[in-house]
Amino acid sequence: MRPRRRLLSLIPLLVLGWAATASAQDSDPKGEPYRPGDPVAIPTQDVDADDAGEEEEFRDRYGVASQGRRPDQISSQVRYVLEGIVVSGNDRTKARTVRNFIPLKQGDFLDPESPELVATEWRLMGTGWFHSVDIRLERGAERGYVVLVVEVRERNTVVIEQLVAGLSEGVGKTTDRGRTLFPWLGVKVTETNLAGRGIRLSATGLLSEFQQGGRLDLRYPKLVKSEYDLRFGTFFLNGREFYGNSPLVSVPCGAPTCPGTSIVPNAVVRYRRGGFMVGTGKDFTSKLRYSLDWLGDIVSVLDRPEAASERQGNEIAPVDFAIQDGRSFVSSLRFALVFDKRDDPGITKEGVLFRGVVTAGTRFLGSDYDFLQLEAWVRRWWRLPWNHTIRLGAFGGAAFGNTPFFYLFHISDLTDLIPSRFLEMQLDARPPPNLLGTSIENNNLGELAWRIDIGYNVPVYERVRDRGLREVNIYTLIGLYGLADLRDPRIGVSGYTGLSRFPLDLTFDFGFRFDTRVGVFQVGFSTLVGFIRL
Amino acid sequence: MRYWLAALVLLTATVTYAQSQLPLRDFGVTWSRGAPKVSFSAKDLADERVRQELSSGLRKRLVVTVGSHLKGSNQRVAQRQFSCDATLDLWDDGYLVRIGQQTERLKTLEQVLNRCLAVEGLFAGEPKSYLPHKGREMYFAVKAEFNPISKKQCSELIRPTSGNDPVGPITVNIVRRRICRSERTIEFRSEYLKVPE
Repeated sequence: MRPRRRLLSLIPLLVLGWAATASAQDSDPKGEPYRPGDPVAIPTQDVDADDAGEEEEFRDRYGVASQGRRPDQISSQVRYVLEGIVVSGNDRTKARTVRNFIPLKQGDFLDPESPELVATEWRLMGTGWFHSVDIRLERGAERGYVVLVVEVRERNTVVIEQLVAGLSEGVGKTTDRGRTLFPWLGVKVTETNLAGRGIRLSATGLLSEFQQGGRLDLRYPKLVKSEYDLRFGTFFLNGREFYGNSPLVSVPCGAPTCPGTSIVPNAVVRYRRGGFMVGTGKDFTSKLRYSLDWLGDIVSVLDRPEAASERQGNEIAPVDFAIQDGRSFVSSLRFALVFDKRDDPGITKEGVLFRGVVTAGTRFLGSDYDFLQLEAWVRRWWRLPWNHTIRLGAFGGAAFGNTPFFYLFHISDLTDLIPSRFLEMQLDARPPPNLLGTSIENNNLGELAWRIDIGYNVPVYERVRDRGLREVNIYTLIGLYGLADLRDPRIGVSGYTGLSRFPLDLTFDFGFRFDTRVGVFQVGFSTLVGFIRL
Repeated sequence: MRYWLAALVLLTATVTYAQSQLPLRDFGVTWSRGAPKVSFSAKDLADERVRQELSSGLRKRLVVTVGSHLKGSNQRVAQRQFSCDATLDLWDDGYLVRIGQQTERLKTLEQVLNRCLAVEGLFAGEPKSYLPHKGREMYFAVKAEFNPISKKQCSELIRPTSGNDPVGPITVNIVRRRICRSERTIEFRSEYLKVPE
């Protein structure tokens, strides 16, 4: 900027400054010192009848007929001094935890019309710790002084966050000749206000004949400078990973009549995996936030085939188990960015949700695996004029380097026709039905994954009430997904021609979503369809 | 296409039916230069709890919405809304009441309720909204709310605060609907009347 222009630009600032000073003097009459509690004169907006034009004809004691309401344009007339904050009705929740939500401290000026103060009641309700929150003012010891009283009624803060159950096919060990149908149950329970300090403790568990696992997560909100939260997690898994497309494994026969080896059609890796996570997160805005975690995994492979091969089109190729023998260590950093503009996280009617994650494991962090995993997904909901909802979704991910199998993309996470992984453990040995008859039948694990889908939601029951069933929705979803190794897109899989060379397939789901007082439940039928041999 | 049309007809019929089920209440209606001026009372919004809240010393909001609709149709002819913010001044023993840009001081809670909820001579829209419907039957529907919260405020206030933490959605779900609607709402409608020729 040139000097002359800079000088010119100062003139309006000086004029504005003079006007502001004059205005402040006008609203603060001399000779009448301000006392807390006294009304503060506010500049009124004189409406000239002539200037108001045609609208003025339809003015009444509530305003002007054509004028929209402007509820938030308030300048307050009353000020108090806050003498203290009293919290009552809290048996478990610490008073200090409640006070942290109040944007004032003792001795501050208090504006009883402040939207921020009014919103505090809603913020406290939004924690989920209370049945009711009432905030009121009471007279203090001196004129103009007030006490802010926060009266709460506590509620149960233990919530069942996730409850999943199903039937799957699995294999106990490589030498098993057939697959077994088995039930499984996964549950996540969370105490949202541990020790009354707003700490969240979650316990997740999976129980089945072939997979068992547990995980504990602790999150301490806003620990550092009241901006960053701190998170810890630890887990232990005893699992099996099922590999290959019609795998052929040579195993010692073991029987006296069978001195050599025999071929079995299962390739199973039994492993134990334990780990620890520490991380932090911060909200940029109410919609945008990030988290940064360090994850350490120790993986012990208990049992795996010496060698196994699988059919890849017309060829027989060795199975890549994507895990080191014996004990290995995975140390990685994970950065996640989330943009969440949904109107309701349970049954969403409109909005957008984006999540991008970068996970990097490197020897510099002590890892036995050097890898980089990138994934991003976005979902967008629209509310249609007839109260139905349409949703578009897209997902893309890529893994580079020596990525362990639990950080690779698994087909069960892309299709709805078999159960997804739970605690990063594979629940079902079945491949999904290959509806388009493509080369995707060769891929259970992959380095490149994508999915696009479209969903439609029809509310069939809606009731405004606090208890019981509030909403029932029928949902349908159809999508297209792909899973490949990084080399596949270049060289392809032999034995396939035309479009079937591309490893992609269809997925769909349909079912009901129930919105109840205790949360949202979903009953989907697609995994049952997966049992039908097509 | 037929199905969409059927769905639209069904939706319209449902809304029309729901509105016709609103309780009837006495309305005073006069027409002034082609626009209706309505008078009614929504003071029953102020139950014991609302009265207590209005005496809390913090700003509380009452919002009254009047819509005019044609008989047997979902079509809204006009709508008028005003909000009334009431704050008990603890050291002055009176209420500060704001309606739009106007500010008043009232002595008692009863006076506040009369000012905010005993509505007198409220223009329910402008003449241009009623001109095309001269001679047709219509009614007024009123919704009076105590401390409503806007959708934007709702989503900003109780947004789950952690990126990878799925606990937020669940706890939010439990309380969300209680927070995201007004603390108390009443609705009623007028008898049918004709738009003057």
